Amino acid sequence: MAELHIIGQIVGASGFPQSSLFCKWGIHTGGAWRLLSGLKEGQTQVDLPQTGDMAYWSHPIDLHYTTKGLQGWPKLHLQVWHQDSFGRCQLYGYGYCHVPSSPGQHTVRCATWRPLGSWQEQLAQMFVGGGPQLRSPDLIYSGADRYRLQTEAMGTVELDLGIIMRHFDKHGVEC
Amino acid sequence: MWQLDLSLAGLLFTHHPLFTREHVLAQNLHELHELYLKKRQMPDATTAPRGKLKGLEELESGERDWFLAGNQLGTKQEIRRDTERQRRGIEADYLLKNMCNRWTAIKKHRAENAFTSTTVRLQLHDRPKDTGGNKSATRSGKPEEIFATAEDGVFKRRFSDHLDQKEEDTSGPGERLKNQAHQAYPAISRSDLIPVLSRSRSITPSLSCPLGERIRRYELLRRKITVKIFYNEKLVSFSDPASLDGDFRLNIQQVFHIRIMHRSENIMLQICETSGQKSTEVAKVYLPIPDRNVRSSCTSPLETVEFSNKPVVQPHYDGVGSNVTCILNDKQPGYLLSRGRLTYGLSWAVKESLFSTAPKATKPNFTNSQTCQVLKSHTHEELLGRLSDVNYDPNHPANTANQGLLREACERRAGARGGCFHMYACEEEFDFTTEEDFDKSRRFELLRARSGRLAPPEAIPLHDSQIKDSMFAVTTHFKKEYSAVPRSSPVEEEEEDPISSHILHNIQQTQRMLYSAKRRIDDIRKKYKLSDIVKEHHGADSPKRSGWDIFRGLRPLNPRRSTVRKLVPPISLLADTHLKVRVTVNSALGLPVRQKDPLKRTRTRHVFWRGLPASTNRATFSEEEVIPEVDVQPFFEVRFQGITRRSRVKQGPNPHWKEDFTFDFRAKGGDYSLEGLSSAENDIVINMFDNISFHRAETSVLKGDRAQVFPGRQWLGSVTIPFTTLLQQSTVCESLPIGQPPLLLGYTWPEAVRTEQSSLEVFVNLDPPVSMATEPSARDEDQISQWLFPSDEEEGLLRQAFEFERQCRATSEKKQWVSTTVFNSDARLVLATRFFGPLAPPKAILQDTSLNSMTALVILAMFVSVIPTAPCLSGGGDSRVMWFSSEQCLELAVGNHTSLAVLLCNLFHYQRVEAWLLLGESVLEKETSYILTKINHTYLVWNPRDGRHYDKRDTRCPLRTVKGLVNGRNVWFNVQRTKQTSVINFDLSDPGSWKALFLNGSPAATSGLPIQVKYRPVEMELVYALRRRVEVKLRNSIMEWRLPHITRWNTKCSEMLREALELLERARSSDSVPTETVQVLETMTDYKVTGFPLHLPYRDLNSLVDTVHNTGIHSTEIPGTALALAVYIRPYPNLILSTWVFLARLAQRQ
Repeated sequence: MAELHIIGQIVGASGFPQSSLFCKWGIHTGGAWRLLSGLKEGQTQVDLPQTGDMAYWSHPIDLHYTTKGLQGWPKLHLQVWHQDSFGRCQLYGYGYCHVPSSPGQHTVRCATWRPLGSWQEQLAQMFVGGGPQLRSPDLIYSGADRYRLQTEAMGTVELDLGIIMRHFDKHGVEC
Repeated sequence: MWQLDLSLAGLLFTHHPLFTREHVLAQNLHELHELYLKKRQMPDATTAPRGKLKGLEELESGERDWFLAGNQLGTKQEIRRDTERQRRGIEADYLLKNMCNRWTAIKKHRAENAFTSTTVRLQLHDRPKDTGGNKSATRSGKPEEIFATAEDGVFKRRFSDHLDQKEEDTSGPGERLKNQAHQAYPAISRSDLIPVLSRSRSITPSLSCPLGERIRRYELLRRKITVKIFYNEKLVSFSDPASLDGDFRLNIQQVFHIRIMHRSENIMLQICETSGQKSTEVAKVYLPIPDRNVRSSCTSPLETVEFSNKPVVQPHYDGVGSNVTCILNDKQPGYLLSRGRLTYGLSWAVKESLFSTAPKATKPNFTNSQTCQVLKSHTHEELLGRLSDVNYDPNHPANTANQGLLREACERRAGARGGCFHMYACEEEFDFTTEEDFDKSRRFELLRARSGRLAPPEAIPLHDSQIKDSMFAVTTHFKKEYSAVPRSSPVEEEEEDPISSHILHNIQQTQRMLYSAKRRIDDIRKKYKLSDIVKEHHGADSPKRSGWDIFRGLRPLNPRRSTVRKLVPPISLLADTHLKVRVTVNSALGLPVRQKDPLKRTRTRHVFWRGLPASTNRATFSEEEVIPEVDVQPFFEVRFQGITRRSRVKQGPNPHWKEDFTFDFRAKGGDYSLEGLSSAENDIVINMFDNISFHRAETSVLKGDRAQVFPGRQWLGSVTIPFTTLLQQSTVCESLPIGQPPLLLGYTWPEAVRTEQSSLEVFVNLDPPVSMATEPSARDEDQISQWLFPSDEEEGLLRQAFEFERQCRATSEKKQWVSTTVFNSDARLVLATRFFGPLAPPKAILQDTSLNSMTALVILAMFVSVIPTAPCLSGGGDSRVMWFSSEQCLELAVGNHTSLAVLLCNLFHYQRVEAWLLLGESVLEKETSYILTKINHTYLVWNPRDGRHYDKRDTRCPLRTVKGLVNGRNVWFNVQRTKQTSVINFDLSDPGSWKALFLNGSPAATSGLPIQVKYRPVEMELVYALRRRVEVKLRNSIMEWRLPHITRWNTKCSEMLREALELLERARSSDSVPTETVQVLETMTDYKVTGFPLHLPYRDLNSLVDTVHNTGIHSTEIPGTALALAVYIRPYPNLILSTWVFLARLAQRQ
């Protein structure tokens, strides 16, 4: 039975309009996957970088999966939030990336986007913040239609992921 | 690959630019005839209704008065129907008239032109009259069809006659004509004429026609009509060009086979007209795709489509043109557009196997009923089958909602079944393994167990074959710990006993409930507690303070000393042998002493009683006279985690040992978490014994002189220090009351002490001083806002309660506070006052006591004290407690620490006694709850766990400090400087001493409603059976423990003891214990009896056996000793059992 270890960290994020950011993350898998140990979702701290633009979280990820099939390969979905000086939180971006499917150390850069409101909402957002959010965050990683959605590109989140695979070769999957 | 069969039958123009006027008129006639045929299809169209209508009208007018409203309504409706029918008949008559007009116009036209270009011909047929008319009565029996040729003159006359006749019907003139008509055609009325249209007229040959007509006909012959077939906008085929005949009719009669690969979007027929090289499009006809059930066979129906076009064609030659004004004979201008009809048949081809080759029907919309059908299917196969049946397109935008619904339902079902659902069956083809393999894999099971903290954090072998069963044993042990199943493994016998299994079940259920609620609370709390994540640096505040100090002129001489924090290693870093428990026992006070010769005393009393039976004064006097010699040889044993240490033997009732013992703490399975540490097996038990062993010098010829030791001990009492207390406080340095049996046979207290309460001075500490009591900083506590926990309370109330707690913390020195909100068993936050309300006790227990009397209260306290308590899962570190409601306590017959107090308080409320739940600290427990009652200005403190009560000033009262009081109306916090129970002021109306939560008694927060509990009686047979079982079990275990020595049982004494137990149970409410013992002793004149009864709530058999083993009654090896054992169980409703065990040792007198 094939096993997959995902060991790594969410390093940080850059390219966002403000830099006091935190990130909610989660891993979504298909039904064939089973979590053996580790936490599959979490939230980082709020980082206020003093120098530079990049917010560093260094949030560890350590998961151990087993699977009976390749369908539904783990996807990492992220939500980047901004916390302002009053403690208000505002969505800054959604993003997802597949967990790399080859063993070894990978640096993954995950681009994020955020839904765009009407011009009135955008105007309000400029002054008071806020903005539209997805009603169901599943949309970040599901293949459902997004054709009505208008989005705006935000920054990127950097991840450092190490992949260890076991017994995949037994089932004819070459790593 | 599918095949569509398109058969084109024919084409007919109903208007064409090359129509002559005659054609137009003929077409008009055709249309009128069609309309007429449609109208005539109504049965009895004209005459029958008229007669009926007349009859009905008469009926209505004549009998209106006698008809009921309903009937009248019915009649009216019938009249209306008939009127309608008659109207149709009249319409048909008009049509007939119009047709005749047209026909005359055609004939006129033909006569004018002197040629005919159409084949149309109208005949009027006569038919027999079979309704109504009196005159036709003779002919009705023999229907005879009069065939009248509607040739010119005859028709004209006849028809004009009819017209006249119609006029006469209405107006009346034309008498002559009428008579004539009646004579000539007696049975004919308008409705009896049937117009028959035929195409039998021969057309005038072209040669005899005028030029214009000839050119028109030539032109018509030149024009060829082709039908082109387009499939999905692509030209597929076309019919052979053919010319129209004189009636503008075209017979195509061709079948086209269209083999298709793609799903059809449309089929279009283009009708083209070519004259010479010039081709014009007449019309486009779109054909509907047939249903997949429509297959080509001989019976496939022919369909007719109409088409038209509107390009303007000027009239030329004799043609009338199209879309231009055309003046017909009657000078009525009209626009005529070219139009026509196409007859075709379209169907799916049938293969050899007789199956249709049609593609599966497309259904873009997936209706909700179909969704329901899909969801109704139970298995995956069925589901997939249905999904393919409905031909469901998951990507279609219209299906988005359904798709979501389906997915959710499938996920839910998959979750319920534990499997996972695949939308597509093909996914499974790629699977490596199956779910079963997952479940079978031992490595995965261990891995999951380890991550769920059910297995020790050790490395797990890579292969299943390397995994030993012993690893699973540990896992199961862990499981047991965590799923909170009682650790005592149930013996097989226990299954047979219904009471035990019921109680066991109740306790397990309670524990499970507690555990799950605690898990939930912990989950929430962990998320919101900042101190779990961040350890704040406390020195940060100091510079600010020193900054203000500059401005302070005089500094205090004694510097403020900051408390030195002990270096406490975190619990999680502990390992075996790191933690040591040191127990030091200094001294004991007021131990009971042996009655040297109790027999002598009773005998003397006997004498007195015989001599002066009535004088009790004398008896007591004599008792004091014969004080037995005092002697006791106490020693103690400390037991911790199965290891027992014994102290030296001292002399006298007030011994002084100062001995200390050190135990290595070993957590079970290396689990140093809170739950692991606070398991019940970790409690420290100090047993106090009287040493009665003696030496006997033996002189033997072979071995010489030697002393034989006969060990013997008599249990005097015990002290249990829960490990959780130690964890909370890390040191216990107290004088603890020794838990003694209600009666100690053969022992008495020295006259000087007279308290009958001995105490033990102990000092217990942990090394290193591990403390679980997190000292939450004020900020941290304030940060936990209560409304993060689920609650049914109003937010305003919660806010008020929270504010109250915050103020309490602010006012008290040690940041103490009273929890105004507690968790119920569902882990929801509830105001503490909600738990209170008068609760009626079981009727049986308060039969012969008056309400509000002291004895009633004592009995109630005793009743509550025999309810077993669920072992605390983890005592330490909980800032907020969980309470059971009183209903739950009584239903399950299990309580926890505080809920028993709440229950007792509610029972007291029912007795109309002012009672409060008292929260405070006792000697051993950091947080505890008692009951405070106010009867006649005296305050009593009740311990719900053992049923004892103390006066407020009683020094024996284990309660030390009082934090607050709660009852159904309010919560009070103690703001007095001294918290000592003995000096506290219980005047709640004094705001200087008590701070109340609700200042004017908020009505929303009070409950006070009576609590209804159903008490179930207990079957006595079961109780007797249980008693016998307990007795046998105890007897057998004692014999086993004593094994190689023989155990003798004194049955007579056992009987006596049982009687004594019954008396004891009955006398629990009063203090008159010793009288029965005397009786026991009196009967046992030949023995020296020492023993004690044990009283405890019944939980399970093993705990009873443990308690008996703890007393060490079996470890006496003095020869000539007999044992006596008696068990008595007093049942209360809901299987609350008060259990008594009397253990006695009988020594034969020399």
